[in-house]
Amino acid sequence: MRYLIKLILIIFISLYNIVLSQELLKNEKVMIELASELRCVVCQNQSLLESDSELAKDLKNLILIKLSEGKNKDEIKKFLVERYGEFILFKPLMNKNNLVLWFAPIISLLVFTILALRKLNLYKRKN
Amino acid sequence: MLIELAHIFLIISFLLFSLQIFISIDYANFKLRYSVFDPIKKLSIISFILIVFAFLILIIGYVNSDFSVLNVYNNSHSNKPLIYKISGTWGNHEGSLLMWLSILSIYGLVFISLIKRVSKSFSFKVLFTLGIVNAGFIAFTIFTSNPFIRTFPVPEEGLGLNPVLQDPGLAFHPPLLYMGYVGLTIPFSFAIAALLEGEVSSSWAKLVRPWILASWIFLTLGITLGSWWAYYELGWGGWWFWDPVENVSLLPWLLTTALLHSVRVTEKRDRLKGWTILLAILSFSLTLLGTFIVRSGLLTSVHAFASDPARGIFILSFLVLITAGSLLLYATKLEKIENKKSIYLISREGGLLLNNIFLCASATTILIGTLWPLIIEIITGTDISVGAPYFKIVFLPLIFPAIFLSGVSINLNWKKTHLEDIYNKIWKLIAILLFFITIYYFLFGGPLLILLGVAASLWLFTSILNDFLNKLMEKSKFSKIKFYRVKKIRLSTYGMYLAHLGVGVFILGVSLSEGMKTYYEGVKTVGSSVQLSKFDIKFEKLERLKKENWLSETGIFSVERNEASFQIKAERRIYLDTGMPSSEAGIKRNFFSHLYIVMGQEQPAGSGKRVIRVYHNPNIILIWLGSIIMAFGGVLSLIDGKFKSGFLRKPRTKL
Amino acid sequence: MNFIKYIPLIFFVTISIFFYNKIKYKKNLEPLSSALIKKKFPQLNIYGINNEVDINSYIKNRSVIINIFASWCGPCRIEHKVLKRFSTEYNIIGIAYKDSQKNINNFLDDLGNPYEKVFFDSSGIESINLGLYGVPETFFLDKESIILYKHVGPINEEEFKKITSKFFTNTNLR
Repeated sequence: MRYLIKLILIIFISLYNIVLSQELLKNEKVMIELASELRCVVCQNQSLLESDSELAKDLKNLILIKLSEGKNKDEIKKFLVERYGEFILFKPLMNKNNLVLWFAPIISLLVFTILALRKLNLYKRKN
Repeated sequence: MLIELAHIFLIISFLLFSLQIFISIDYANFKLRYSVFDPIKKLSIISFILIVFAFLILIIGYVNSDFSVLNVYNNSHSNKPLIYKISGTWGNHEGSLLMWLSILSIYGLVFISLIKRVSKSFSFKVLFTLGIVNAGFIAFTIFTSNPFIRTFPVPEEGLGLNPVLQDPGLAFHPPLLYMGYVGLTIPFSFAIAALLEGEVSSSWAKLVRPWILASWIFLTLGITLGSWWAYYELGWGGWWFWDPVENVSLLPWLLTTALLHSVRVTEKRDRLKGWTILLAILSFSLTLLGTFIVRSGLLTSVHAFASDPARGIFILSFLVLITAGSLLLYATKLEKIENKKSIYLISREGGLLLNNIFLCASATTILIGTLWPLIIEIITGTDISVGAPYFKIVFLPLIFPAIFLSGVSINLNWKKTHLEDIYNKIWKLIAILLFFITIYYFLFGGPLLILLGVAASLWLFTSILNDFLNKLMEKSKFSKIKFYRVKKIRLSTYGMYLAHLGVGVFILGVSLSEGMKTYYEGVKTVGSSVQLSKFDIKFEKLERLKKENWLSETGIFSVERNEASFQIKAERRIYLDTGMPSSEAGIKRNFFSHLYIVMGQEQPAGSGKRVIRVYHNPNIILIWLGSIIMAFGGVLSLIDGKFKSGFLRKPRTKL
Repeated sequence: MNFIKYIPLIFFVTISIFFYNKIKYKKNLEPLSSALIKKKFPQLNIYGINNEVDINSYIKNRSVIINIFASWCGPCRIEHKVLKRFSTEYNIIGIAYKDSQKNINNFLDDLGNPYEKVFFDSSGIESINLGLYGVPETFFLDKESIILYKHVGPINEEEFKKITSKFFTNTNLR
């Protein structure tokens, strides 16, 4: 009987470990994704992922902890922005201030297309 | 003594250029005084030669470790190997400015030697513009960034060079890049001269094209070398970081590419004159903007240290004067130089025009993105970052259409191509392409973006092959490939093929390496292993050695995959003269792929634990290989231009 | 349609104005803009020596200066004299970052103690809530525990005086 209980315990713990390590692995993957989108605020221009600095390591650990608490990427980003400002985001927020920034590609495309169209003859040339 | 001589040379050349500008203008009539052409030419030659000598003297100062010169003291050390003493000359602000001036002088001298090809009035205007640019740069050098200042008492030893700069890649990256940037001064001067003349002819275009091509080639090589250097030296496994400094070098490249295409249209079809002139002005302006942003510390970091504001104001004034002046001139003279000729859409020039839309739009977007943190800081006072995620999202959608149009335009003729011809030529292309894409997809799967990238490069390859084969079969009754025609195709056409082939290889490299790369990061000790992408990597041992001028900690890794086994050494260095560390990644190449290992420092000290990073980057070499092929294509075109269209022969038409 | 040709010029001049602004008006205080300025000092889970009191309760309703430091931090040693100089005029609280009580005691025995009280953040995690970049950092708080200013890096006498005269007006002191 005790033998059976031990066996069940072992299987249970192993399964738990496997699931947990899968979770951890998944969390680590998400952490790496997130770390590449966040700026190392004490470095020249590196991401948290690329940086070896103390702060970067601490923040990466913090991200892992938050992920294991069940927080998602957006919540973690919000948490960090509250403390370090928008500066920590490599992808600027799509808010009122950054309207021009995010519309720049479309607008410049439009502008240059119009400029080009003025030069273009779209109709067949008369021979 | 020699140093003082060099200093005097600089001052003399500044005075000569200022004199030149002063006497060139007929103030009564607000025109240029052509009678002084010969003296101006001679004065220019003297000034250019003096500048080059001044630069050579500075190099001698570095080679001799003359620490009485403040610049040498700040940036050099007697322990440095000779080649890095030499490259140390331009590894700092003041020295690199002097190099800029010297390269400009050499370009100037080359131009003057070819002056018989063009009319005096035109050359005069070009020299006038060059004089202004030179005077500004020399003034900036003498008054704010003088490399010839002495220091007393003479120090025993120099402050040493940043170890990160003691590297062949970084030693040659500035000269190459500068030959590109500085080279753009000539097309710029040609553009200003054309505006002043009130005429942009196709012979003008033919004359200026080799200069644009030369600058483009150097820019391509310079940026490629920079990217390659960042990849193997900085240890982050990446080759482009969308860093402000990188962006600021990419912008002139994009516009010069657009310029290259636009000037070809002006040359062949006498159209797009306004575009060409504007592009020539803007690419040079962006060069000025770029170098200056980097030097004034405006954008190295939003949290910049208080840099010398006097320097910043000087640069800005110069930049504004030149750029605003040229853009104003452009606006006022546009009507005069532009014609009403239109461009038929289905033609090579039509394709090139459309292509330019995307090149210019992407350049504008990158410019705005790079300057945005600065703009927001001024307007709202908050600091934000605009990094890689933004640029990837906006740049890629703009460049794909450009690639598609490239392929199409290669197969189009000048003037007009009948739609039926297009269908005939291109449907075969598209069929082949779809075929390959399907095969690739079934074999490799993969995310959509990667697939698009591979498709884009295949599109370019097949387009080029298509046009090549069509040329070999042209006018042939039996659709036979006439191999003798291979020799008949012009060198510049091969240059064009090769350049676009290079783009295709580049895109292929980016898509494959980004799509299939794998990465591992973890804390390891000697004896432990890492598995990545079927590689079995064991941290065998750690060696501590003393090398030339550094202390080395080398991690030895034995790697096995399938039947292959090899060793990789990843090193950390502490340089003796500065105490600064650097890390040298261990890279093993297999065909075009890399296995790349970086070893961190021991932390905590004595524990034996180190952060180990392993990257597997499949087909990554294609990225730099593609760029080099691009540049080589440019060289072929340049050679053709030199020998066939009269660059060295007497011209048929004078401007 | 003719104004189109002036667009590049206008665009360029606009950008230049921004550049000029940035160069000319580099604010003298040049703070790293803290996301926490004008916000209330956050709740931190850090306590004094015998865990008797948490920092938020301790600083309630008082205007204080909070200095984050460590014994292993070089610049902290340098700025220490400045803190001592002002310790009589202002309430200076210390947060020991990633350090042990023993090391801090030695440090303060060696160099003197400018702190009214020292709190401990041994893991360093709590300080992340302050948007910490590294040590030392100094926060200037008003009576309502609102962060008026954050100084990053070692502070010297001149900077200290400038900040206090600018932010510590009579209405928010003590």
